Parts: sequence; C-alpha cells; structure tokens
Amino acid sequence: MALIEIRGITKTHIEKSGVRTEALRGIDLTVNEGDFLSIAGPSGSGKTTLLNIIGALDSPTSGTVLFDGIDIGNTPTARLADLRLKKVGFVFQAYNLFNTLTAIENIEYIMVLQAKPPFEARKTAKALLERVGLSAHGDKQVNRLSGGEQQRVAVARALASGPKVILADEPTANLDSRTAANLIDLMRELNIEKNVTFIFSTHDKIVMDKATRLVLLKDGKILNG
Amino acid sequence: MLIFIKIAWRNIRRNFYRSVITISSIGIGFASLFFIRSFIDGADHQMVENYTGLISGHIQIHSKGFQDNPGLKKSIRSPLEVTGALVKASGITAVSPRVKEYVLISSAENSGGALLMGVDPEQEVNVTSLHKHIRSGKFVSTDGQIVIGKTLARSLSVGINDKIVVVAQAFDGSLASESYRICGLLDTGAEEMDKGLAIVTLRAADQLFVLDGKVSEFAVRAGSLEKTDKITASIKRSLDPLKYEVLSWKEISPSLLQWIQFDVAFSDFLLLVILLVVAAGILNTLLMGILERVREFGIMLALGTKRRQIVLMIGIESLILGLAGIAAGFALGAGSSGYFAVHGINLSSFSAALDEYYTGSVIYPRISYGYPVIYGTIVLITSLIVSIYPAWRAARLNPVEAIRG
Ligand SMILES: Nc1ncnc2c1ncn2[C@@H]1O[C@H](COP(=O)(O)OP(=O)(O)OP(=O)(O)O)[C@@H](O)[C@H]1O
Ligand SMILES: [Mg+2]
Repeated sequence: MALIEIRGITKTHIEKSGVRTEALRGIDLTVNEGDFLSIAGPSGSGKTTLLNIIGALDSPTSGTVLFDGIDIGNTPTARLADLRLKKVGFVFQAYNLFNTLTAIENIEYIMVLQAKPPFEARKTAKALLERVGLSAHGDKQVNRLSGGEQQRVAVARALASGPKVILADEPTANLDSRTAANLIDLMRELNIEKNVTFIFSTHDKIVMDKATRLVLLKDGKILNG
Repeated sequence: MLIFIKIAWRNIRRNFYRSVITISSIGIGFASLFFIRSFIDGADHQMVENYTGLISGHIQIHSKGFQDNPGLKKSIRSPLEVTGALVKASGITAVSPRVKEYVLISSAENSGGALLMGVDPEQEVNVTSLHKHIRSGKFVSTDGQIVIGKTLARSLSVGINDKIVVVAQAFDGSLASESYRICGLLDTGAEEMDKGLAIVTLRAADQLFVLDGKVSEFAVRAGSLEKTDKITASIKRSLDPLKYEVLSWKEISPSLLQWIQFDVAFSDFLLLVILLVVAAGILNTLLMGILERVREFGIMLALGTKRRQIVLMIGIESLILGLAGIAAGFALGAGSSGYFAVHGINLSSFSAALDEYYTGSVIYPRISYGYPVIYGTIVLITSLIVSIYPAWRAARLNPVEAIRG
C-alpha cells in the first residue's frame, strides 16, 4: 500500500544572496508501507532535500507530496509539526541528540511532546533502549556515548513516537564500516519487527546493498525509475 | 512540562560561568536596590524623627486657622476638651501643651525678635528633645528662667545668668513686659531655632500673656512614626473640625514630606536604571545561548516541538536566572542592610550637610518587607519580558536551515 506518493516535484533553493540551486528537478516516487528504501547518490545530488520534503520539514517548489493521504504542500506549518510528531521519526548524520539530556530522557522527549503520561513514557523509553541494546546506558548523558551508541539512541528516539516512517539522512556517515553495518542491520530488524517504513540516504556501497529498494539520485533526478 | 524545566535547568548548568555572571548581575542589581532603599528609608525616618523630635512633635492640635495665621487670638480656649480627646486616642506616648507667640527680647546692648514658647518642662521633655540641645546651662525649670538660642544670645551679647526683658502684646491687647534670667543656651544646629527661639515655663507665658489657662497648641508624640496617620485620624474624629485643626508632621512641615517624596522618586528612578541593567544582562545571556543552540532548536522543531513550547522553555530559563538572582540579591541586600541597621553607617565626613536635614551623621538603614517583594516581582517580570525576544527568535527558526547550520 502506498504510504508516500511523490508526483513531479522540483525544489529550487534560493539563498539570501540570490543564488538559485535546482536541487530536485522532477521526482516521481511511491514509497510503500514496510519499504526499507535507500536513496543513494553523490554529494549534492539532492538526497537531503528530498528527505526533508518527504518528512514535511520543507515544501517542494512544484509538484505534490501525499503523505498518508495528506497533501503536504497545502498544509499549514503548525499542522505539519503535528504530522512530523505523530508520523515521522528522524535520524540525522550528526546524531543530533539533546546533549544535556540522558539517553532515556532523549527518548522520552518525543513522548512528552505527544502528551503521553510520564510513567508510560518512561516504560516505553526503557523498552526501546533495551531493544537497541543500550539498557545499561540509559542514565548516561548522551554525549558520553560513542557515535554508534548515540546513533542507536537516535533510532530509539525516532521509534518512540510510533511513526509510520523513519527518515535517516546518512545515518552511517560518521560511523566506521562495522558499526555502520550493525546499525543498518538493527534498522532492518526493526523494519520487519514493527513494520515501520525506513528511508535512508547514503553514498556507502555496503549500506545501500542492505536496502530492499534502491533509488539512485543524480543532479536532482532519479536514475533508476 | 517537566522535561522543559530539565532542559532549561541543564542549559543553565552547562553554561555555568555565563549563568553565574548573569545571576550575579541580577543579584547585585537587586541587592543595591534593596540596600539603597533601606538606606534612604532609614535616613528619611531619622530625619523625620529628629525633626519632629526636636520641636514639632508628630502631631499638633490647634484652634482652627492657627497653622496659617498663628497668634494668641487663635488660642485653644478649652484645653480640657482637647486633653479629653487625647486620652481617648490610643497609641499616644506623650503630650505637651504649649503657648507660642512672637515677642521682642531686649538686653542692655541690643534687642531682637523671637518666638517665645511656653512649655511645661516635665511634659515637654517627653515629646521633644529640646532639653538635650542645651549647650551651656540647663533647661527651664522655674517661672523666672528663660532659655534662648545661642545665636540670639550672641546678637544680644548676653550669657548664662544675664537678665533679658521680653516685651509682647498680651491676649487682651495690652502691652506686657517681664524680665527673665537666662538659664541655658539652645544649640540645635538648626539656624532658624538657634537664632529665633526662646523658651519659658508654661505658667510664666500664661502670666505674661494673661491667658487664664488658654494654650496655643498641644504637641503629641506617637508610639511610632508609622502610626502617626492613624492616630491623627482618630484624634480628628473626636474633635469638632470647625473648632480644631489636627495636623500630622506631614502637614506641619510640608517641605519634609516633599523631601521624602523626592527620595522615593529617586529610588524609583534607580529601580529603572537597575532594571535596564538586569534586562540587558538576561537578554545577552539568552541571545548568546540561543545562537549557540540554533541546531538544537532546529532539531526540536523538526521533531515536532511546538513553537510555544520553545518559548516556554526559554521563559523557564529566564525565570530560573531571575529567581536565582533575586534570591542571591535578597540575601546580599538583607544582609548588608541588616548589618548596618545595627551598626549604622557613619557619614560624619559629610555631616555638615546632614545636620541641616536633621538626619544626623550616623544612618541606620531600615528594612521593610513591602518593597523587596515589589522590587523582586518587578525584576522577575522584567526577566520574563526580556525573554520574549530571544524566545521569538528561537521559535521562528526554520528547522531545515537551523539543522543545516
Ligand atoms: N537551504 C539551501 N539553500 C541553498 N542551497 C541548498 C540548500 N540546501 C541544499 N542546497 C543545495 O542543493 C543541492 C542539493 O543539496 P542536498 O543537501 O539535498 O544534497 P545531498 O545529496 O544531501 O548532498 P550531501 O551528500 O553532500 O549531503 C546542493 O547543491 C546544495 O548546495
Ligand atoms: Mg545531505
């Protein structure tokens, strides 16, 4: 079943200086529920731009994006925040956890935003942390953890909202190849176990090989469509 | 909510030194406000106490119209009516009936005008401290004695034990004249009195002016300065307003009141200046903190944090800084004011000016509990208002750009 339908989107970034960059030049893509999809492409090909649009962080210059039936281009900003909170999980290249909080608190944060009762939030956070193999590190401030550990906390945080899709922009770029492979394997397990769709970008061959579906991006266009 | 408090709190801790500096600047601002206000209140209080204690008393009762147009014709004809009212009012420490009239005083050498005051020595000493300002000699005790200001004595070329003659118009309009022996010289430091005041006993004045028991005024000492207004009102209620005027020190000496109002205005102005400093300090801390955390706010927004939640978080941060600063400032302000309230601040090197204002050269700050609360609230509200702009900046960030850096 189609979770995300992208029809003919383009995106032109306009910098303050007036410089225009056509980051996406006509993308058509359907993402189905349960996909484990990798967007691969060289630097500057538009991976981050595409993921931001799918995740309702950014809007396309033209074309439409239907996310779970919602037309993202025609939805007010405040509603988009809500959509992200309820349906999207994010994992970033630079981990981007809240460094002042512990691992558990980072995961709880999402559920606090969702107004879950604190007791339930703590229980879920613990379970998720255990699932990603970090139950011993729950009370540690996250910047004390290794990169691989931080990224696993990030995956747990992304799962905490019970999202339809997790968007991971180059999640392994800062990790060594073994840790990277382990992270992708974990993501794949969760993909199957929780039936959550994963879309992740990479330019690492080993990582893209683990995807069940591969989209190749170059100069803002999909090569293998 | 709790998580936002946690984040705010840990942020304050993360930027420990910056937070300490901000908290100290709020604290020092608040403490100086506290201290200066206590100091001013103490000085004002002393000024009023010294002034009223020297000659006027806290409250005066006259026949109606005496204040604007004094004279024997405006004497109180039935003093018992007034004493009756005074007995009923509570909170009064002492009362002294007086006769007051302008007279001519002559020595062998010279003559000059003066205000002659007839007082009952035993009662007067409980209301004013005139008797403590006798430089040489003693206060009046018998009817043939007179105390005069030291400057007046100099211009008359007289001293202790010399005789002087007082000439005046009696109550019935006839010319009255009597000679007295100088028993003491008055040295109050207030030029007006040292130059133009003479004191005899109440009975001597009664005889001189032929008053048959009439008096010019009753001077009242209240249990405390703060109760004066209440006591004045209660005396007023039991006296006929058509016959009597009951005046508190504020009406007896409007210039004193003006001076105090000026002091309050001055501390309000100071409040404004300090608020600006506090506001600038908090604004600076918050803005710097936000610049450093652009990416963090971007992530928060990306994850679905509402703008108002970001505003809330920054507001909490500002509130914590404000509260901590006020707590520190309160301790410092109350501590320093409290210490000097006991030990006094000796300003004798400036005392020439201070004597003139009757404060005396050692100031004892007075702490009251109203204004620290008001000032604290104002400082707190200021810190909240100041957080609005940084919070708005953070909440308006575009998450895509904030994360991209
Ligand atoms: N906010 C922006 N403003 C201006 N130009 C932008 C902006 N974001 C991206 N671009 C430009 O758009 C093009 C696509 O960028 P994008 O970040 O999507 O590529 P990418 O595939 O994610 O690259 P990388 O692998 O380096 O992360 C690039 O040329 C980039 O410089
Ligand atoms: Mg990118």
